[in-house]
Amino acid sequence: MPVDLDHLSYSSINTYLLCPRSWMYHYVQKIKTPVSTNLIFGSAMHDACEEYIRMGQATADPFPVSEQFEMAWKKQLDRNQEIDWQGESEDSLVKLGESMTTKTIKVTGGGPERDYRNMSVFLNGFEPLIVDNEPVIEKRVSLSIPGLPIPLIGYVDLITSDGVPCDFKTASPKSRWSAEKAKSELQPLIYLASLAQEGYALNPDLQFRYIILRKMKTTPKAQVIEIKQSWDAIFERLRMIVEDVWPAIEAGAFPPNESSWKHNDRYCDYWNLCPYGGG
Amino acid sequence: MTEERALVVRQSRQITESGWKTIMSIAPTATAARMFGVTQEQAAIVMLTGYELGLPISAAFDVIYVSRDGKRVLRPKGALGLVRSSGLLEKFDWESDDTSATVTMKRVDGPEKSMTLTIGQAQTAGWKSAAWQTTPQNMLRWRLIGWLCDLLFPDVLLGLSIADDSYLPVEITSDGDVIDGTTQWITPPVTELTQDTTAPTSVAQSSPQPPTYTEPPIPQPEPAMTLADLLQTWNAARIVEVYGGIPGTPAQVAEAKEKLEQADAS
Repeated sequence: MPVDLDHLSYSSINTYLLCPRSWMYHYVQKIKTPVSTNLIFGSAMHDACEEYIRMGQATADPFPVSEQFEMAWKKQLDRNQEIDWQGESEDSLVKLGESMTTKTIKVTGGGPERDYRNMSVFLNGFEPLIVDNEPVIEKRVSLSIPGLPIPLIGYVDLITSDGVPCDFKTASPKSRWSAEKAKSELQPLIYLASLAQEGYALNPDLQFRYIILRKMKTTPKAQVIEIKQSWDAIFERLRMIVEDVWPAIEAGAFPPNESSWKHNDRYCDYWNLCPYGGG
Repeated sequence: MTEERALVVRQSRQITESGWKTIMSIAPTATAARMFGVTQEQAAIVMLTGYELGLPISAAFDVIYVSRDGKRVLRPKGALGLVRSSGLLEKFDWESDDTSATVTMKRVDGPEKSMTLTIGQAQTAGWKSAAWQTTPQNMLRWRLIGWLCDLLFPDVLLGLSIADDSYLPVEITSDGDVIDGTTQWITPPVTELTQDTTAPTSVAQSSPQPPTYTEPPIPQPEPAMTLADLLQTWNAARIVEVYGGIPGTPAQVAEAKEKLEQADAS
């Protein structure tokens, strides 16, 4: 089966590793599925945080994150995408976003446990790196790997003034995020490798920071996870991509992974289509 | 007149060590699955040739045929697909009636060539496999397409010969595929049929002169250097320290290797 791709991304590789058959439906057959509320909510929160930090560099009085979220949410709904609401209502999600951005937020990680008056005050602590008079936000990075005929493309959410790349994640209250999990993630390794290949030298200790925003209505929480990676770990993952993942993709190896956490009708977008699922 | 459906291929490329490992790991499956029904070694050669032609590995079996005696030939349909995907085919046209077929091709950087073949000539030549009995017009057309691809695009086809039952005891189907056979070379009954012209020309007016069929050597893979090659000698931190980053291309890997060797020596 011919695979017509001009690039890979960490999420694409993650998808392949989770379930090659799901990857095939998405990237080969390009089957469109409704967008989950998790995705549009997370995207809106992510855009709101980035825009707040960006605006904070241009003006002393930026719109608070709560207002940024309202605008970003409307943009998501205006994109004319089919949404799978999964029993949730637009109103409940707007209220969740409002609570997360306006209430006192309890933060763990990256120092002692502390409270911030709201999300905006919390984000004021992340001063962006400035390059050519612009904050480094949503920076496009590209990585070439010998043996891989197409580049790996990604977008780094934020690089702070200490040179550390950061990524915003919106997570459910119960999802487990820890330094161990963060170290096992492919995303930091690819982003750190991409920056190194571009000659970025402000992060010699290979640090990476996740900013996890919990979807909690009554007592919003956030978690800052800072990890250090090693060149050995980076090179090992690049080897895996070139020697294990890409040849399998090229050879058309798209078996289902029935032991994946995604192998169910809630999380698999192609469940009803796939003969190994409900199809 | 309708357009034939050609295969979609990609640009040619060099085999890497990991690519070769993949091919060797797939060969038993390909043989077992009857994608290629002779030996694992022949299946591997088909995939290697396809890889070099820029094809997805699994598509190679639709394009390349290896006879029992190990000769690689391109199926006529596959040759046309490769030529089309090369971007070098400026014009491809054909006409046919109950008794003859004419095919015209033009390469972007070359003259237009037309060839005509009649059923009478095919009968005189003694071509009489099953497909010649049932769909002679299709057979005429594929014969001419194969000849023109071979004549005008040898670089695109990497010098591979095209399966052709006028030269080889292989049986071609009316869709341009190979059924089976060996490639013991035999004298072609009718051969060079081309003229630089925009008008179709009958083969009867041309003097026979066989196209050159040279047996191509089986290429030995020359794996491009990868990061894994460097890691066999140096650790990752040392590579980054000496090279000043992560090499992104085989050429950069080679450059990094040179720098590392120099650093070790000094």
